[in-house]
Amino acid sequence: MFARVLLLFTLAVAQLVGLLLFAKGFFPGKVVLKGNGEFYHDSAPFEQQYDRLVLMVVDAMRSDFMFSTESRMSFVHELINKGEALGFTAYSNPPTVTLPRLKGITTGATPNFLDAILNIAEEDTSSTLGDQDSWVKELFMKGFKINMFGDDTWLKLFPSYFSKTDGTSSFYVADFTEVDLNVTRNLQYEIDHKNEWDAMILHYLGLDHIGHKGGPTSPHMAKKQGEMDDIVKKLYNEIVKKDPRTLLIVMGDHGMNDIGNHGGSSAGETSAAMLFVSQKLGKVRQIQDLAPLSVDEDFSYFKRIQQIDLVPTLAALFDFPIPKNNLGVFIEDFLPLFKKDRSLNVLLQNAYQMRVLLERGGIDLEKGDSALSKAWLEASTTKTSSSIYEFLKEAQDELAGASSNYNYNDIYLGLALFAMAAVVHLVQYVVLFSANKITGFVYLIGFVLYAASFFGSSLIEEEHQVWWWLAISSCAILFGLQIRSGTKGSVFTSLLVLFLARLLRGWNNSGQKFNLTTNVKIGSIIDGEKSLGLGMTLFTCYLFSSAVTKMSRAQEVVELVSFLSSFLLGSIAASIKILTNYEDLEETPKFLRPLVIWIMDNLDTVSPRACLVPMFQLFYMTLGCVLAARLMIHRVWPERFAGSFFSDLLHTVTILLIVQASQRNVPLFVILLLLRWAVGTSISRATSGLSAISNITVFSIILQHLSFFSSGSTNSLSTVDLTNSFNGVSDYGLISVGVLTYISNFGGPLFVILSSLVLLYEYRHKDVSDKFDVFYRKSVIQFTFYSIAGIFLMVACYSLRFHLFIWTVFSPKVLYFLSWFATNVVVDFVLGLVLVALW
Amino acid sequence: MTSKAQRMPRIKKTVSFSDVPKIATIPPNDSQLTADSKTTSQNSSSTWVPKLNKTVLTVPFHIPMFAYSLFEHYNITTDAVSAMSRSLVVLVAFQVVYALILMQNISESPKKKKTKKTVKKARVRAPESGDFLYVTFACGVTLLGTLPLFIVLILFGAPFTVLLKETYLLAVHISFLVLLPLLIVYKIADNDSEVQPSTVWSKLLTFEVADWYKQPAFTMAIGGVVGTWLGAIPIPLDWDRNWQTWPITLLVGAYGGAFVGNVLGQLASLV
Repeated sequence: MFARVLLLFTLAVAQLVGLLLFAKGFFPGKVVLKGNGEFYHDSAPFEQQYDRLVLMVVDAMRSDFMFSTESRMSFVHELINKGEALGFTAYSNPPTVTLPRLKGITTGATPNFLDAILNIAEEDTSSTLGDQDSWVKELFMKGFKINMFGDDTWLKLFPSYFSKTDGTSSFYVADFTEVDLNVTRNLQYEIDHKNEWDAMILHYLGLDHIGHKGGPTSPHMAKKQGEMDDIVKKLYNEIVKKDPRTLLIVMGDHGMNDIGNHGGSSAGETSAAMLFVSQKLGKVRQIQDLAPLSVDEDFSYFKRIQQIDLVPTLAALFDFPIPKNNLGVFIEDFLPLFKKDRSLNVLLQNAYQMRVLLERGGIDLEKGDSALSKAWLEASTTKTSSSIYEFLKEAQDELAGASSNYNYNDIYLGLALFAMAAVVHLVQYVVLFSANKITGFVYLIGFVLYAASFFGSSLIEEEHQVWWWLAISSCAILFGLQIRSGTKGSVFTSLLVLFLARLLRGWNNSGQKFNLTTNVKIGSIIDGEKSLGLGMTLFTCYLFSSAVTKMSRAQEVVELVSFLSSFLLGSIAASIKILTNYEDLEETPKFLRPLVIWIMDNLDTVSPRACLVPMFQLFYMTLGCVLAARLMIHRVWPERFAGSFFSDLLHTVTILLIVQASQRNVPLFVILLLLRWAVGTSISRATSGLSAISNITVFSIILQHLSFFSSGSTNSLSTVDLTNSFNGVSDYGLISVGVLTYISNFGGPLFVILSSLVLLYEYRHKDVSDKFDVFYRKSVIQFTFYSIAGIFLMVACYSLRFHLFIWTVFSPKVLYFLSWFATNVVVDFVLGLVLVALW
Repeated sequence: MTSKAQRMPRIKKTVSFSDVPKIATIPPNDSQLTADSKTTSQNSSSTWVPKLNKTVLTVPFHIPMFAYSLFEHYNITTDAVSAMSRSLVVLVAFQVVYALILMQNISESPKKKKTKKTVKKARVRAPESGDFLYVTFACGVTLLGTLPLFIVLILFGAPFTVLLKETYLLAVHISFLVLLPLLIVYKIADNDSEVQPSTVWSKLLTFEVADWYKQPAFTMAIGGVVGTWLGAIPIPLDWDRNWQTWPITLLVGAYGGAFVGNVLGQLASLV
């Protein structure tokens, strides 16, 4: 048995390596041109329009926040109507995450997918722009003194170009006010000492944090927009108004979707606002509608441009060469600023620069008769602004499409390694089910059906539907098996399973297509009734802490100690939840306020927020102690406590999962607990022996995924929940934050994994002859499932690598699959094996 | 054996279609008898299940036609609710006629056969008043059955707070499509039969009836359910077609599945 488990382990490691290799080949770095931009065929093509630049980036400033009638930025509207500001809706290229967006905004290039991941791994240094050409670098080389205040992503991108900095971290999402005050506090000094700088970059994060926490309609949103408006007012009155050669740009780096997240490619996420403010704009004023505009469902306000169009525009306005990798097109509305003969030069420089990029990409404009070559011919012969614009747009489309090249060796090697291990798994699977062919075959059909869904982009986007479909089919089969076995009450348990599963499905919106419609879901009802949500959370906390004590039927002293410790743990968790609730200004019931004050008094702090870090640390410590004590008790009196070993651990760990879950998802654990009972009872009624083990395993796989999607997750990066990633962390640490993020997003699956151990070893306590044999069977089925799914996914990604959605749908799915597979290896297999060995 | 010999001519009379010779040479209840003996050997309580005569009459040709008319005549893609409710009368009418046809083509239970020999000889006969009464009664039960079916649809994932009308109409359609024929063939209460219908139903539900795949009414129900189940698949796909709206694909799946199920059952019973 040891040899077989060791084989499984080796295969798992091989597959993990294979997957990582595949990912390495699939997400390569992009080829970028080295060196600086240059002027083409002309030594001084531009005529400098501005001497001073103020760039104010407001994270997640969606177009409607600035321009619609819902917007509170009345000063901005006033400026637009006065003609001193130009508003645009700027398309933000997905992935709509800050780091890749900043790269795009500064270099003018389209992002590469890896940037999205590196955005989360903050400590990584491979994302610096180093030598890559950008307007920040060009301005620096031009001798501009650039000051930077706000999001420290900028500092990571440009470690050496800023003369004065004050960075804020973008990851403490619960903080709405301080991040922004830390930026604004520098303003007055800079305004008073304008001779000390030429360019100033401000990056405000508060608005994005509000979005993550409460969505675009959060009560904090209006206040924050007002705050931003006041800053624009201050900048205008004290800088722009005093100097016609100053340009102020206010922009969002990306937008947000209807639930306040971003990362994907929906209209809300990609429509960022962009506003140019300058006295000079009065001269070039186009006929623009009067702000604010009525609400537009597609978030289109004023003219639509690309965010990267900012790059050549800045180059021309400040007179420096257009950065080398730029795909942006000069914004037409600024052409009238230049003298008639100079304005054509601006466009020509833009065209020459793009042509170099095209030639590097292997496209010869002089030959061939593609639309692009024709446009070039037209542009280079006629040299009219309209023909050059035609060419620039064509070139932009062409270049944005061909962005990266794959490392095929890594892809093939990774796929081969994974597939070889998969074949061994399959052989083990066939041997395992040799006596039970029909069951094994039915499972295989299910596995293949699921895996085949990876070939449809919508089925990846709506994966929760696939799982729901597989889940109810399995429930129906289980129903039939139970009725056949003829035990009493099988109709009840079957209906209960269906009912609970339906509740699970009704909890949250999942999927990417219908996610944003205002569906009435149980979760949104809880969000509306804050005290109901809090009540349910507290109930769940104490339910699980009392479940721990109920299980250990032992001597009174042990029971008392066990009761006290788990009650203490549950109470800490409950107080943390109350504090978080209080801190988020969600109406905490009055009778709980004395508790908050009591905690604050004891911790000697003034705000509930300051209590949280020590409270979390206390919680983690208590949790560690309780778990260690439970394991120790088991070593001392193995027989007495074996019966509840797994369920005690499960219930204790669930309190951690509750702490890491958002309030609306906490009651899911109660449903999952009931579901565990109902499914467990049904399975033990209907089947026994190997089929029971395999049924439990298959249900575990199904419920893991179902619970994952029921908590509102999807296969898009935008639904990664970061709100609980910093619980109790006072300094940013990649590992601790990563683990906390993982736990808060995979809470449901973790619960189900531990539950399956309970079902395998406690419900069938007397049947278990060889605990490792049971574990081996379970693992073979799971690895077979992941092997099939993995091969299908990799083949799908490989064969669809030129698909339109490869970056927005398939690539995030690869990352999610990686985390699922890692969950399977690390938690389900290794951790499970350790627990079973301890049992 | 005598009863079998007596029955053969009756079959010949009934079936006046192309496949007469084949059917006539194979005694219709032969397979049933062997099946019975099989079940007896496996299971102590043998279950006799009513069977349909092998005739093309019992193939529900109206179903595909009706499904086609849902699109062509009732324009289900523009307004599902109105199409489904307006077509309901026609569906019920069709299904009642179909039910009456089924009534005439049910083979009698062994006990009944002996008592009603004279009547049998007279077949094909016109429907009797008792038949009409039972069909009316079955329609009532079918209507009642829509409620649990509606709940089952919701449990199986139909939207709960919205589109309730659509879901309920879907339940009504499915109910008349598959539940009514089931009620006609397997009866809900039958004093004459030696086997309680309730046992028949529970045996059917768990596939414990021997040769269940040779029971067209049953395979029709299975087909309808499986079709509805498969009908959910196209909804999430991003083809943006108007027929992808709830519950058109499920309805089409139900109709298609029921028809295919019935035909497969008929074919299986010929073998």
